[in-house]
Amino acid sequence: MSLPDHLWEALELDRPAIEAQAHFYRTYAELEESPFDVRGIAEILRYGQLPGGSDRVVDLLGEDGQFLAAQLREDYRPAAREPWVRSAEIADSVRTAAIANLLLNTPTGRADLVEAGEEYRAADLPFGDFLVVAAAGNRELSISAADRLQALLSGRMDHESELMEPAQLRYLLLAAAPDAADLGPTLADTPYARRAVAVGAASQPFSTWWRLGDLTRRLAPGDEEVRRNLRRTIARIAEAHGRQLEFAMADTFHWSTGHSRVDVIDLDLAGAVAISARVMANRRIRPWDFDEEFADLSPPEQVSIVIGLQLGGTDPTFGEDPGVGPREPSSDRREERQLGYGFG
Amino acid sequence: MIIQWCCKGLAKLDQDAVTEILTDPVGLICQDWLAHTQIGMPFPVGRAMQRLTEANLHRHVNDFSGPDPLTGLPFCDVSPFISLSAGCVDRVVRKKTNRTYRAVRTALDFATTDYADPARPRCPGWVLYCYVVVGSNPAVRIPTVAEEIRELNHGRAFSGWYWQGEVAAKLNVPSAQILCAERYEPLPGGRPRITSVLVNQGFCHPAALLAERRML
Repeated sequence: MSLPDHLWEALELDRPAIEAQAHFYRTYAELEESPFDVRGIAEILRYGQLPGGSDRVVDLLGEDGQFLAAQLREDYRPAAREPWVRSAEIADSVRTAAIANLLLNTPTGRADLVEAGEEYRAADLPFGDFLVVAAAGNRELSISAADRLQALLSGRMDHESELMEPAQLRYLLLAAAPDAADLGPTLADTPYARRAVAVGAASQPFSTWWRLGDLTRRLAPGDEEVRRNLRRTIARIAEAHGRQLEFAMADTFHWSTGHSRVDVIDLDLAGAVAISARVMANRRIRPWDFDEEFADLSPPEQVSIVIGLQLGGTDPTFGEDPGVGPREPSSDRREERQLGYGFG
Repeated sequence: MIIQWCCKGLAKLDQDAVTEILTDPVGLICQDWLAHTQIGMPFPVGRAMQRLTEANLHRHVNDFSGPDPLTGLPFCDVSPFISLSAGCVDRVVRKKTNRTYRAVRTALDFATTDYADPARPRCPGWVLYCYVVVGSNPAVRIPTVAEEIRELNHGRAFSGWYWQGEVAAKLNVPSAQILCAERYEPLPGGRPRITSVLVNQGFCHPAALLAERRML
């Protein structure tokens, strides 16, 4: 699976440019740092040429540079960077590669999302839980997120609640949505439900995302009102993102080379759609019917929804356990845990 | 005045060409200079200095492949500016997020992707490390200082390329300011591997330009 041809054409995307972006960000995440710190090389030349040196060029990896290389290794070892710097770089690179790969090949993009999610989770960001739940339907993480959210909203984790950014809080809710049945009244009553701060690629109010998470949580067989409201909320965010894409497409040079600053896929929206599709499958609810429910949207508005449905659907080519567990053990719902790609 | 370290990505150059950049005193030259050199013509420095204008800097940053009003040629073939990257922090207001872009990432993208080929294949390339002097204020007409495009208080117009952390040098970056060059070669799987680290022993450390004096 990949983005359908008619959307490639409508979006005027250059496939080689997207492939190049996917490839570059994927490989950048795997890049080995140079064995020599540039700051060390500069420092060794601070007071001019080395004794016996000349103006010529030497290769530190060649025979002529052995002396200089040995001196650098002994006296100018690279200063340690903060450990999160490279970790954050890897997470961002793999996430960017995922956006490109989801357009080209769903299983590859899905694997990238899981890998990026693991990196973000290592930094204790709920965004990581959201990516893994959206990409792989990991129920263990979903239950863990629901526990954490419940603790936050009930005031049992005041300090963490204060530290958590609105953007991360909504990821926690989206990750928890499939298993947040116990949070019903708490979610509706919390002041978060009315926050207006804009978040996400489409810059929508926090309350819109909160509603989306709450509606996903409340999906039930036969409850058409919840379904209609969820569809409307998804469409509203998709329209806002589609408008961003239209602006970006007007800048043809950046767009055609894949260097636009607007993500072609709104991962938040695609992930939310994927989670809702999995919840529907698990609860035996009629699945999303794209032609009936989203076909009235314009092509730029459809992109993230199409990708989300692919991500949330059954994909026989992605059969391996992503091997991701919760960061914090769930206290009282251990028996409910199941690792799988649905919420069954 | 600030000494700013930067990277430059160069795709598909052989080692001799990079060695020449590191050893020839003129160092890294702009496309206009390179074009003259390639046809054996002397580089008209005075005329090039007159082309150091706000409008041309805007073309260099935001309309690189558009036509040069003077010659009608693509501006990228006659630009008197040289794009370097110093990295940047990009504030994505709509996401309430700051993103950090490292200079070496931008340089590596240009070094290992053949953007001249419509298929955008991976290719071997070089990342150069150099320093330039940037001013406290924009000074496009002054050839000896580079323009800090990535500084929003200097380049105030919106640019879709802001995230590249550009610092635009003018006419040339002397080899005395170029410390070294790393060669990256894509492995069969695509991951770039460093195969050479050329050090310019004629490099002049910027300590001489800094506000620090040694004792007599």
